[in-house]
Amino acid sequence: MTISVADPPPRSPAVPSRAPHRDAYKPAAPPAIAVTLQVTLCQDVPDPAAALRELVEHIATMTGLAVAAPTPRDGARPIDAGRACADTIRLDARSRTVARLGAQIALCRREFDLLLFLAEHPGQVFTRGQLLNAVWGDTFTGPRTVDVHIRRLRHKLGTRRPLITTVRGIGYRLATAAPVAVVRSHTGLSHPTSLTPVNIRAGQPPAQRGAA
Amino acid sequence: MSTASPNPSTVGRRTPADHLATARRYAANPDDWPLAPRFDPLRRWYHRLAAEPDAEVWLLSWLPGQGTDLHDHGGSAGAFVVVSGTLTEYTVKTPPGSAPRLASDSLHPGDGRAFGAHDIHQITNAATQPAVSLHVYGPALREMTRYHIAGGQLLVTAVDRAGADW
Repeated sequence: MTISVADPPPRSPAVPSRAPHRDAYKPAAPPAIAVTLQVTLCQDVPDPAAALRELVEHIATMTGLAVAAPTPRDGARPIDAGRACADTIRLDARSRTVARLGAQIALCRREFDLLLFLAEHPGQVFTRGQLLNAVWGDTFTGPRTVDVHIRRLRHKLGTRRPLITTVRGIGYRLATAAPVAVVRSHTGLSHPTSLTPVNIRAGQPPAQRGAA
Repeated sequence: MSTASPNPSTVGRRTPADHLATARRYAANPDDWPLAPRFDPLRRWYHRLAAEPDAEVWLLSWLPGQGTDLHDHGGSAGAFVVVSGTLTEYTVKTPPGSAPRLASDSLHPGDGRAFGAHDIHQITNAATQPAVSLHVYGPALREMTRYHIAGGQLLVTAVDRAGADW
């Protein structure tokens, strides 16, 4: 899921500079936060707009915020949802099993631990040393062991786009759009960890974006 | 007479060194560019000069203080050459047992750098004069992931995509 937060629209100055303007006694417009959500639906939803409204209302209830009904902006459209769902790799943290398209993928213990660790820390790049500490927990294993396990994982998981990204000179991270869901509870409810990197654009100098 | 045939595994896939050669070729012939570089104080200026089957050529300008975040190239390799001005390139170094840190290098007109598909770097005009550089990406740049270093960790800031962000 990608979340973009835009700058709130500028608010009119609260204190009039000279004589009170006729608008000065009107209640100030409530602050607005523009949020762009990319939600991957893994089943047919007859009315996506209603589902989105329900989602936002649910979040508002949870956080105690009072929100106005969301209005989909022009140009909002489903993005390649079928592909994203079909490729989702489900990690069951309890039974320590991995499945894709309903088929089990046999991973050895360390391969599973490595994938689970990366999936639990989306958007974070780890050095081989950090992965050795976190997954192997010992200092007797060499950093090449990490490379070997990463290579095996990539081979076994074989999605169209690489699931684990190499960052040269540093190490590895879960690919930004990697469709990995970690299942934790008895009921099988999952939270898609990998769909994270929060795309916060607020306050970012626009000069930093663009080709380079 | 040489009869060496190209290695089939490298046909159609250019190396970073090839990209650097392409960048130098374009940088050496500014009269062939379809437009002159411009400078925009609000936003870094960039323009695509050419699209070849397996690479794209871009012209970028940098006013003093303008720069990028730490970023990768979404799996594209490439190269860039400084045409005018001075640019500072930061790359990430991780000494064994230490946290990632940035190391900087000044690049002057004619200096170039090739980068592989998994390299990340940051470019800034830390000088007092505007700078122009010429960049080649192969295959074409489709996605860039931006990073930052916080608490000794390298973290993803955001993902920018062609068409939406540039």
